[in-house]
Amino acid sequence: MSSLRDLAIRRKLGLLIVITTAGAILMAAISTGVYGRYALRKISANELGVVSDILANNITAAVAFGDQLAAEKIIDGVEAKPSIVAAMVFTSEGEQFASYVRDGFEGHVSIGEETKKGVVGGQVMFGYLLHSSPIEVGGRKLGTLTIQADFSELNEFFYYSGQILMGIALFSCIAAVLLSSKLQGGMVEPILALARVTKRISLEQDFSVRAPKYNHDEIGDLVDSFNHMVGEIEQASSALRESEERYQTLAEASPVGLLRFDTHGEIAYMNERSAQISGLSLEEFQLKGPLTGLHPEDRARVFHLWQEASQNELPLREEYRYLHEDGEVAWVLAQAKPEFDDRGSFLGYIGTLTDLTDRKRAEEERETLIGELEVRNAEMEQFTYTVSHDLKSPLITIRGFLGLLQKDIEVSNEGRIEADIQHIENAVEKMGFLLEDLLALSRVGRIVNPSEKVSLFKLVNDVVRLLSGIIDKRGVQIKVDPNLPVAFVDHARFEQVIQNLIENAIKFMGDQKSPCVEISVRDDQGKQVCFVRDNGIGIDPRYHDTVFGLFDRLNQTIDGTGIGLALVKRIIEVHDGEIWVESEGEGYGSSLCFTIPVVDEVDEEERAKNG
Amino acid sequence: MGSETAHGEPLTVLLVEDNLAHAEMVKRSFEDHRVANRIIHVTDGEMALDYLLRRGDYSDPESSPRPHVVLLDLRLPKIDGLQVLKEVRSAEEISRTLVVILSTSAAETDVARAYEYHANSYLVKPVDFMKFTEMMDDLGFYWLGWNYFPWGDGR
Repeated sequence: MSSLRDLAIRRKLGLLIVITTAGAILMAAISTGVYGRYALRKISANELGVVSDILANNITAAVAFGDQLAAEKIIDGVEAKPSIVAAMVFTSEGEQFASYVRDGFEGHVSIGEETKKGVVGGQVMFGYLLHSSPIEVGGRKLGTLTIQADFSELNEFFYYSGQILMGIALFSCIAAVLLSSKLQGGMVEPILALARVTKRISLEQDFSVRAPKYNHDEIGDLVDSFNHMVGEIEQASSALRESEERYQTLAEASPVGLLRFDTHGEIAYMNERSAQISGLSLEEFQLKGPLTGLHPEDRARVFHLWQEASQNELPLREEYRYLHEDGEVAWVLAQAKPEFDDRGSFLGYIGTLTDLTDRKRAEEERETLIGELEVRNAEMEQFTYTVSHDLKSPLITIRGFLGLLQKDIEVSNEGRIEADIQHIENAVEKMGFLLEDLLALSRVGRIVNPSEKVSLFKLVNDVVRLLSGIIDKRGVQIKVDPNLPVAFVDHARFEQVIQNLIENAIKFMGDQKSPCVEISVRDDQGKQVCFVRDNGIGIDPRYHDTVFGLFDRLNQTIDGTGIGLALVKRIIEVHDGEIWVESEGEGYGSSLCFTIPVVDEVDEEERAKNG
Repeated sequence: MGSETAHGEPLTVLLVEDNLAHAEMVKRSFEDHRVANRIIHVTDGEMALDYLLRRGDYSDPESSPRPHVVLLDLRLPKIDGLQVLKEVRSAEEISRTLVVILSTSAAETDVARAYEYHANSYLVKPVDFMKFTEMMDDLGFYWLGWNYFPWGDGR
């Protein structure tokens, strides 16, 4: 049945018409045949009865006179009736008196015992029609005439009738098929055309095609409705496409990265800006997962947050970093919202990536600046504190000894007067030095000369010449290493550094018999460390840090403002260098070591920048 | 005016001062008013601790007696005044030593920190000479005449 249902409409209709036509003809033929057979048999039987009665009547005289020849002659008369195959006359005693059998009849002659018994009337026996008629004269029965006929005549009629019927049936079927195909032209073809258009639309998504309209019947209405519907879909889809294109353009032009995630958290779409910010393409994300490219320090945190949010279908907002292949770090603000369809089922996430790198960089810069300012501020506080303290100190001395001087003059204590004046002089001189040094210190960092290539060897020799007075006075041997590097520094400031360090070394020489100051350089794990080494009193390791503090002085017996090393440290730091003390302790001499940018390194940096 | 404490003892002062001129002024003030008969002067924090803890050169109790009062400057070479005060307070045998801070600094932080480490008094050296001598006078009278010390005997 199903195969019948799946047949094309064209075949279905054809088959229906043929079956209906053939069925109708068949029914008519059968009913006509059955009734015809019955009616014709009845007519034949009556006809045979009449023939038999007439013959019996004709033959009565022959039988009555026992004229067998005459009887035979009469009986042979049935030959004119082709359906009669045999005829026999029996006497009332049951003897055969005359008989006829058609030439060529090979069938069974059924006129037997039953007929002899004198039974009259028609009956059908062994496929033949039998009829017996009495031969009587004046009410006296002389014998019986029996005729046997076959249905050949009838059969012949049926044979021809059947053939005519078949012809009609064939003609009807052909007519039906022709008619159906003619009808299909008007009915099936529009449906088929509609089906073809539907198929094309669904396959090619081409909403511009229309189904052809052939008639103004119901199918025509259907085609009209269909075309109208397609038209609306076309409009809607083109509006949708335009809207999508507009959004696409917006998304691509957006300064913010835009992304969509599917329900598995995989990136389904991202715009160009997302790729720029993250440093990765959509393909790379799809290949390596959505958490690719994260900064190693942020990966675990973001992974955890993302997992938690996506499991609970919650929105997400987080700042983190991408580490680009070239080592650049990009700070981003990622925001993602879950998407749901009309029925509330989870579709994934839609998210944005905002580049925070510039802001973060500015923030970092600000933090650095604030930090630097805080350091400067603290230094400034320390500075004002120590300045007020250390400037106040000589003032107290001056005022104090002026008072004492007055008293001593009153009592004319000559010895003390001189000492008082000396104290005052010292304090005034100290104040002068302090002010000078403070001025020098305040210039560091404020007045900056551009750095230049400076041969430290030449610079040190210049300073030594400048200090030849105190050097000769103390009889100090100065050794200058010719391997001293060429530095990239502020020349004038560096003169101050070297001068302070050499002066310091001589100042703290103690009672060394053969004082010596060495200015040299050594290689310390690839870094060039310059140092000023003396064989003076040395510095206890406990105080190695405090020597650089402003106004910190370890030895009160030696003149000094306590600014010198603070100044040196400040200058070295301005040059991004470090300074420290190396000394085994008191009596072992000391080395002041420092690092500064030397020309080789500067060249390398510049090469790196330009490369 | 006597040169003895309320208990009749002579007053011993340990002066910790790196500025030699200032030390001279303090000594002269005490001398003029005969408020103390013994001033021991050391010039840095390390020496002060050595003296109080009787270490090295100061191990002889005869020549290095315990002071009644320590006059302590804050800015000192080697070990600064606050650190000296802190160590005095944490060394049990000298923790009750009376320490008077004598500094040029009137900075609040210095004052606050000094009291945090349990200084007994905080004095700022006046620039004015008259006030300087007046303060030294009062200092002598106060500690010599009025103050009771936490120890009964002369140690």
